[in-house]
Amino acid sequence: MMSKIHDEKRLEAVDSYNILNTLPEKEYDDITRLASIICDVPVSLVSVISGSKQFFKSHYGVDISETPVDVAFCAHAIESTEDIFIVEDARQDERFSANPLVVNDPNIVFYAGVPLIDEDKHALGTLCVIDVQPKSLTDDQVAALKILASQVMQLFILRKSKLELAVKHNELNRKTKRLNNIITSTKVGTWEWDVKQDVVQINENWASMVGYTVDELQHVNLERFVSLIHKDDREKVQQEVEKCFRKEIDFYDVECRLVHKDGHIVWIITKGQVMSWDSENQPEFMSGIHVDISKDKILEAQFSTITDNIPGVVFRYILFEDGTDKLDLITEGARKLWGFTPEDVTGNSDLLWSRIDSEDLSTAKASIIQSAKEGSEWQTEWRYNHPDGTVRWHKGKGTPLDVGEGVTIWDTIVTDITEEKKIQHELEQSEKRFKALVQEGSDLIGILDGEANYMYVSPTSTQVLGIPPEDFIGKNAFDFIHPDDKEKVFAKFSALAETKQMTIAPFRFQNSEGEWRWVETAVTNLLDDPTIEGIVANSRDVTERIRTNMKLRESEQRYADLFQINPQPMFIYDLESLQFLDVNQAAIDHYGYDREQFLNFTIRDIRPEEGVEKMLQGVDKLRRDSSLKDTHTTHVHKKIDGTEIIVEIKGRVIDFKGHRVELVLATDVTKLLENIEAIEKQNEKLTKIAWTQSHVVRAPLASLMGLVSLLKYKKENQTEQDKILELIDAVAHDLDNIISEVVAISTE
Amino acid sequence: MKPLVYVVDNDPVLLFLMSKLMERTKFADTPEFYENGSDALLGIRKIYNQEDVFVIFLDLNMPEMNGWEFLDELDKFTSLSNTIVFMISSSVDTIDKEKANGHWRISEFLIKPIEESKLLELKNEIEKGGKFLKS
Repeated sequence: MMSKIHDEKRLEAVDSYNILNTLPEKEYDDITRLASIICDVPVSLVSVISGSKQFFKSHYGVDISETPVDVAFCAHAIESTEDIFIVEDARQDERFSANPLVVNDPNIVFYAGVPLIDEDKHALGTLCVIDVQPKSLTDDQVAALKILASQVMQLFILRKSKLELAVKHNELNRKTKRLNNIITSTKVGTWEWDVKQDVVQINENWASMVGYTVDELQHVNLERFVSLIHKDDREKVQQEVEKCFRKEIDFYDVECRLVHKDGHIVWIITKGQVMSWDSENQPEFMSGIHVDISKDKILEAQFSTITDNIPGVVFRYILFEDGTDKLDLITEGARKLWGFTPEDVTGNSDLLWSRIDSEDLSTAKASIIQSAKEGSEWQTEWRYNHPDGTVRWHKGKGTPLDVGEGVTIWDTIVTDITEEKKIQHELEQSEKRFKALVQEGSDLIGILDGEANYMYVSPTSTQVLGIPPEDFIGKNAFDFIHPDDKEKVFAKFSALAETKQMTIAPFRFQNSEGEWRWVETAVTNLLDDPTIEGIVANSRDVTERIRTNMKLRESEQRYADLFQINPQPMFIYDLESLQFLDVNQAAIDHYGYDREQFLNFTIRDIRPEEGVEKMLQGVDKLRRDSSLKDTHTTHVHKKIDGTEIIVEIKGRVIDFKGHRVELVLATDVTKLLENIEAIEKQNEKLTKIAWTQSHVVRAPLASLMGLVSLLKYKKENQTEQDKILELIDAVAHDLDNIISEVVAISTE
Repeated sequence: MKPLVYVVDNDPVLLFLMSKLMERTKFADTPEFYENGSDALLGIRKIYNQEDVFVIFLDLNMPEMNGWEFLDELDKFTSLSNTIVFMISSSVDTIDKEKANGHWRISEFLIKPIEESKLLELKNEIEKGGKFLKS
């Protein structure tokens, strides 16, 4: 029971009409009165049922405006599915017989109610008629009651529409007001252009931006509108508008200049959009705004004038959460300071990072991170390898701004402080020198008069020469100088008359023990200086250096002599380049190349092609094994005239002026080998002689011996004897001939 | 029985000396003398037989055919058992001597001048039928 009444949708619908607890209205009262007349009853009501009560929008014949819902006859009418709910005698009806409205005042007996149904089929309430006696309605009365109920419903709907309209109207008013406030307060100029009629409407701000009143510019056409734009910007704006017309863009947004009524330039941003199109897709209405940015533009110009003239570069440094960074809004100073254009550096910070000196890089990076972390001012210095090849000192300064999401920005200025650094460095150096001179000086400082007599000597004299300062005073400096050096030093000293300052090359100076010490002296003529009136001599004991140098020179000389006067060819060549570094006179004489030729040669050039391989193998061994010092080989060399000579090479690897070189003694053994060959030939000859002697010479000898032995036998007759003697004579001649031949061979 | 003796030497003085010595020592009845090896080979080949003993005095140094070449040819038709070769040379060169002594075909190396006593010694040995004949 009663489920429809409490249906939330129905209750929402009831609320939407906003009718509960409203004052009576004549339209409704007219209807209840008409209903009571038609149905011939004393009471007629327009009820609206909420969740808890029934409210009477109109109550004809009774003076109550509401009742609880649980006793309401109308509630039953709503629950009913009939289009009219009739109770002819409530006293006889068990649903109502105990109802207080039946039992007590107003003692209802007859009830007929037509539900008021809205467009969503919700029953909002009823139009009902009531009597205190039993009754039945005719068909005409029922039909009339239904018509009246629908009239009530129409009134409800009308009421609701009115209410909604009022709300919308209010909203619109509020919005319009707000927009106007914004437009007025932000000084935004607005315009609307009826493209077809060519009429432009603008607001007060628009007009005042260019020094006019709205009235002066009201209903202007496009031509006038365009005439206000600076002639150099007209085309740009028109192109944008046309793009909108061609639907290439939804709206345009450009910066341009307008010409003020009094002639000056006004910078604006103009934005616009086509608001409606006709059936042929041609623009009908366009509207947009103007914003005056002259102030910004002036500031911008001022800013860039300032920043571009600052000796340095101004930019925005952006550090992201992930550690990446970016430079932006870089001024023209970048070209000079960094050697890059602002465009080069924007978005490519590595261009700069890679040029920061590696020693300063980590400090620079750390300083940025610290500044970001602590929100403290960033300031640091670093060396920058400028693309022009110089190393510059840069100093950066900026204040961090945390813009959220781990992003920090610094508006930063970087300047070149190289000159400052240089001056600072020089200052430090000069201070250091001064300190060294005064505090740690092993120098001996003396002040002499024009004749070289000591007027002052620094306490260091005791330490340097073993002579206390006071022993010098009044004495002449030349008394201490070695006799062989006096003349030279005196010449220098005399020259001080013309020269203010000079250095005197080392000379010998006697110390307390009579030993000669070498001193190097710088003298400054301050005779004209009233605070000194003397010659300042700054001396330093350089004995050790001189002695070392002398020893070195002697040893060098000894070496050079050994090298130069050696009767065997000697040379030095670089083990890497094989270039001759030095050759002695014997080499020049023997090979025939002059010194210059030699020094342009490598050791390749003094040998036949077939000897190169052997030489390279030898050199390679020396290069690879640094423990190898001495070499002893035989090579074939080539003299200037092309003759090849066999040389015995004795070499020693030494360090010569920083190079690993081989010092070579080359002995020409060609002659020696020739001699050996000659001896071998001689031997061959001797063998031949020996053979000849054994065979050829001995043959006649043997014959002689044989013949002579025959002569011993006296038995032989004269004829035989003569024959033997004849033979002996012949053989003796043979022998003589043979001996002559042997002699000839041996002297070949 | 006396051996058949051949003396081969290009030196006529040697041949003259050898003829005198042969007469005096009665080494052989009709010794033959040749001034070159090839003639000597022809002569020997003509009468060579197994019964007689052949004794050849051969000079080492000869033009055309020298002593070594002669031996090679001789070896082709004679036997060691009845052919005795004495190498004669004027050389006192030990190399020649060693080479000759080492040659299987040569019985002894004789140095000029050959003395009468040496020939007698050889004659006796041969007549004893002794050591010069190799089996």
